[in-house]
Amino acid sequence: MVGTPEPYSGDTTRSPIVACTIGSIVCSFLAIGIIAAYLPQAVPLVWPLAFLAASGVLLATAIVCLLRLRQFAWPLFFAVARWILVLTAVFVVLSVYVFTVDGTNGVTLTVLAIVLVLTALNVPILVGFSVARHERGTTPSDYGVPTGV
Amino acid sequence: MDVHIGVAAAPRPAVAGAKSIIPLKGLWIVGVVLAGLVVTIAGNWLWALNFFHVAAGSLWTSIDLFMGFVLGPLLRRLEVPARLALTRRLMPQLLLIMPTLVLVTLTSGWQLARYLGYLTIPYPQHWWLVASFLVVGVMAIIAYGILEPANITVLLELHKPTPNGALIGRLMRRFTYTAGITGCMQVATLIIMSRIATW
Repeated sequence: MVGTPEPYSGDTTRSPIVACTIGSIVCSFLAIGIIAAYLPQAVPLVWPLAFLAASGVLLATAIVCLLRLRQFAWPLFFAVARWILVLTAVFVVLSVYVFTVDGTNGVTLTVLAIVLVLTALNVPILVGFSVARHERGTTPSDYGVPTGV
Repeated sequence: MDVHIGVAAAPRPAVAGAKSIIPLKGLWIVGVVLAGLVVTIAGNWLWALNFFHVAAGSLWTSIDLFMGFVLGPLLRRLEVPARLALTRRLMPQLLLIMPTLVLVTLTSGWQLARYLGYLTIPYPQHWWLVASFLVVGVMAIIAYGILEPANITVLLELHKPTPNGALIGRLMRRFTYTAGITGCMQVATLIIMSRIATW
């Protein structure tokens, strides 16, 4: 007896890449939030550095998981991620400029800049993967990029 | 390796000749706005910082609330062709507008708070500022983790000769259940900003 095939509604599996990138972003935001809550006064950097380290580890894990993917729409991933990277890069540059103009202390500014860069890398990976994961084909050439991205 | 749910079907070919989903013609407006913001920050002018923060913040909040509670329910009641036509034209513009508004609001808001001395206000009043950071953080995670990927995937799918209706339908439902959360966050923002402005 042949049943009616269900229409494909996208990749609905729980992905470690999504979990790691969101976790990394949350850690970055916590680091930035703690620093912002203390500025312009002296910032105790213990917790921001801890969250920065956690964010870095989670980002590295996400990248490793991403590189291990087979049958993945890489052209679509890069096509989407590059535009998001432009957006996040503008955000990082403007944020670092603002904190520099405000006279933020060198060490604090460095930690802030690193955390912002981690966020700037996480978001394109998250969005690019979340879009490309739904694309499917039987051969790599099937993972074409819709023109205009 | 990811496992796909549903029966495998022949892959849809890439679309040829589709227009860009990012309205490149609007990039010059974004450039002008950001240039104005940088000049304002460099000049440290209160009126300009106030203008950028209030204008961008109001637009951000209004668009979010309008999309979530007016246009969203209305779209669900429209016929599918009308829904797709509006989505195809509206969403690319939002891809440019919303990140610009967010960037301008946050950056000018921080500088405004520094100029007015709010950053050095002691606790417990300082918790209002911390609350605003939390609200922005939650909205950013929802936006980048849920809404933006859904938005882009739906737009790319709509540009294909045979869009996957099941995929589009599933992703569009994200806007439904996140509208309540982002709506609450925006209302919280209004309360916090009103409180801070009347210290």
